[in-house]
Amino acid sequence: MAKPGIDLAIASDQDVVLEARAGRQAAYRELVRRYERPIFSLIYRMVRNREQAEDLSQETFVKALNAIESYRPEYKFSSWIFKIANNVSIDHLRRRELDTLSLDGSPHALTPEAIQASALQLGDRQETALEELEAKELGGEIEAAIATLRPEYRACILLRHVEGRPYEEIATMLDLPLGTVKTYIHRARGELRQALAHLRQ
Amino acid sequence: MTDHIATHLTPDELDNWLAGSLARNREAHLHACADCRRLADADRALAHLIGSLPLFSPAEGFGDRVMARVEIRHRARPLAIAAALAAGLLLPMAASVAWSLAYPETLTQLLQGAGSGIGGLGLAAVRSLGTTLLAQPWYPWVHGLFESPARLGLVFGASAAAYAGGVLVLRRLMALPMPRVAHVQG
Repeated sequence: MAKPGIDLAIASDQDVVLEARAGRQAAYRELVRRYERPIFSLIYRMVRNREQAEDLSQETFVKALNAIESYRPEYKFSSWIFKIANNVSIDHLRRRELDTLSLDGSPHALTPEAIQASALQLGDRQETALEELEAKELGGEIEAAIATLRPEYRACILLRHVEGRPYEEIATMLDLPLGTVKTYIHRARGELRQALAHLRQ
Repeated sequence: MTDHIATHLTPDELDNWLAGSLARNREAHLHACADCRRLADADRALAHLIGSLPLFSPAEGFGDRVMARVEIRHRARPLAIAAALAAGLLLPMAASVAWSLAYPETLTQLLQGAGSGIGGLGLAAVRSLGTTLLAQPWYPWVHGLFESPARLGLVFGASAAAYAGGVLVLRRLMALPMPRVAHVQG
C-alpha cells in the first residue's frame, strides 16, 4: 500500500483521486465520505425508496471507484460520479417503471378516480419503520411535487437547485445538449409552479 | 423590429435574473410588467424552496459496505519505480567497487586466472559453434540472404516488422482490463 502522503481532509478531489489511483485505501474512503450524502439524496429523490436508494448508491460508488483509472482528471470528479448516479437511477426507473408512480398518483391520471387508483396507498396496510421514515422524509409538498416530474426533469432540477450545478455541467453529466437541459429545467419549474400554486396563495 | 423593452422575459432571462445578471433594460421591463414580476418571484421562491431541501444520509456503515466491494489496485508511482530501478543497478555496482577497493590483490589474481581460463574455453566454444553451423543443411540458404545489400535490407525490414508486431501484441496481452462504466442512455 502507498504511504500516506497528502492530508486527504483538505485535499482537492483531483488530488484525492490521484492518491486513490496510487492504491491508498483512505483516499477511496474519503471520496465515499465526501459524496455519500449528495449521491444518496439525489438517488433517493429519484427512486423514492430508501432501500433501493441505498443499493443504487452503493452500485454508483462501486462502479466509480472500481473504474477510477478511467476517470479523466480534466473533468470534475463530482460531475463524473453524479453522471454515474443518474445513469444508475434512470436505468432502475426504466426497469421498474416507477416514473409513473408517486405518492400523489400518476401525473398522467386525468380524473380523481384515476389519481386515487394510481396513488401509493401508504395508509392501506401496516407501515414498516422504513416506510414510515420514507413517508416522513419525502412527505413534504415540495418533495411530492418533485416526484411527479418526469425522471429527466427531476434529475435536472435537483442537480440545478439542490446541487447548485451550472447548466453546462448538468449537460455534461447527463450527456444532453445544453438547450435540452435548459428546456427541461424551465418545464420542470413550470410544472412545480403549478403544483405548488396553492402554497403561494 | 420587436420592442425589446415591451416583450416579456424569456426563460433564459428569468435564469439570468435569478443569477443576478439580467441586462439593465430588461430589469426595467421586469419592474414595469406585473406578469413577469409574478413569474420571477415564483421562480425565486421555488429555487429557494428546492435549494433548502435537506440532504439525506444512507444507513450507518454505508462506507464499509462500499469498500467491501471495491477492488483497490496498488499502482506503483513512477518515482518509486525509478528509485527501485536505480537502486537495483547502483547498489550492486557500489558494492562491487567497494569490494574491489578493499581487496585489490585478490581481484587482480582472480582476473588473471579467469582471463587465461575463460580465453581458452571461449575460443574452443566459438570454433565448435562455427563448425556446427557450417555443417547445417540450411546454412547455404541463410548465407545467400546476406549476399546482396537488397536482400540484407529485406531481412532487416522483415525482422523489424516482426519485432514491432510482437511488442504490440505483448502490450495488448499485458494491458489490465478496465471495468465498464455506465453511460446515459438516450
